[in-house]
Parts: sequence; C-alpha cells; structure tokens
Amino acid sequence: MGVCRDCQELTDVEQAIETVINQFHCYAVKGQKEYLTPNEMRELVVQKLPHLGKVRCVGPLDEKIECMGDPDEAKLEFGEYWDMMGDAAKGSVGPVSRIPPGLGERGISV
Amino acid sequence: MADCTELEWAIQVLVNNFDKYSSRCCCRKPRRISKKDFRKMLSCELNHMLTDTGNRRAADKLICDLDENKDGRISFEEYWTLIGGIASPIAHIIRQQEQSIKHTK
Repeated sequence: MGVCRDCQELTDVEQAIETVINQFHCYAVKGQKEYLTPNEMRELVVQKLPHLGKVRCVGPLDEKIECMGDPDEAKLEFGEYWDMMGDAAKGSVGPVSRIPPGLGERGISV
Repeated sequence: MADCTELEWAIQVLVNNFDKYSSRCCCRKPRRISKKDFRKMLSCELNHMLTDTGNRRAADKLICDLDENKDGRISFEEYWTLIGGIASPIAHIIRQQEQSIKHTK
C-alpha cells in the first residue's frame, strides 16, 4: 500500500490528516469507527469546531446534518465527514473570512 | 488561533498548505494549484504517506480525474477531494490495525 504510519517526523500536513482521521474515529462509537450517526456528527461539530462550525458554517452544516435522516440510525461514512470538513475549511479560505485573531471560546457570543 | 481545537488546527494546516502551493493567474480568479506544484506538494508534504511510485502514478491519475475543467490546475474543492482520497484508505487501515490488535489480545 505504501502507506507508512510508523515513521517518525510526519509533516504538518500528514499530522493534520491523521488528526482529522482520529477525530472521526473518536466520535464513531456506535459505528465502531466505520461511520458516524448524525447525532455523533453534531457533537463533533459543536465540541471540536467551536469557531469554524459556529461562526461561519452553522447554517450549512446543521442543515446537512438535518438531512441525513434518523439522528441515531443514519450512517455518515468517512468520505461524507471529509466533505463536511471541506465545507468548514472553505469558510476559512481567504484573508477576509479567516478566523478573527483573539476570538476565544467565549468570543462567540458576540 | 491560540485557543483553537486540534481539529481546527488540522483544517487550518490543510488550508494553509493549499495557499502555499496555489497561485492566481489573475486577481479576480480563485487560487489554484498547477499539476507541477501539486506533485511538488505531494513529495514535500506527503512523503511519508505516499512512499512508492505506484502511489505516485495513482496520484497522477487522481489529478487527471479530478481536473474536471481540464485546465491543468487544481481548485480548492479538487484539492480537498484529493486529500480525502488519500485519507480515506489510511482511516481504513488504522481501523483494521486496531481491530487486529484487539483480536490478538
């Protein structure tokens, strides 16, 4: 496969990819790391994307989660999760829409 | 960004990486990565995850398939899909490895 996970000194990009994967695995309890339920996905967005998820993308991400079907039964696979992270990322592309400096956990109430 | 979560950091790294390798052909158009720079990005930034030439060929094919408008340049959406294509099999491998560890215990 050519995928070497045991190597030390991964680049930032590789570490970032691993982080995104690990978060999926952490929350995919019911699906045993194979899929997230909409409820698990919502929990992940609220807890792990407090800035990206709330400030910019709460509308689109929430709507998407609503459309997934039964909150405890529907299956959200890794590819769909990745696409949603892409939507959150798009919110942070470009200098205008970048996260304002100093916007803390409580800064969201603004 | 000091108080961002690990996941937000990760997304920001991937966004910054796109910015690093992409350029504009004119100021009104969104940034894109050329195929040449994309290959450079793969070998500089993903050299542990994509180690052999087979993967390199697979990456070439991915670039061709992804470049829907055939302008030879990769948009942010195309870039994100491509990284997802690399991440998805890795996620699968991690899960399988963890399962096999459980079974052998």
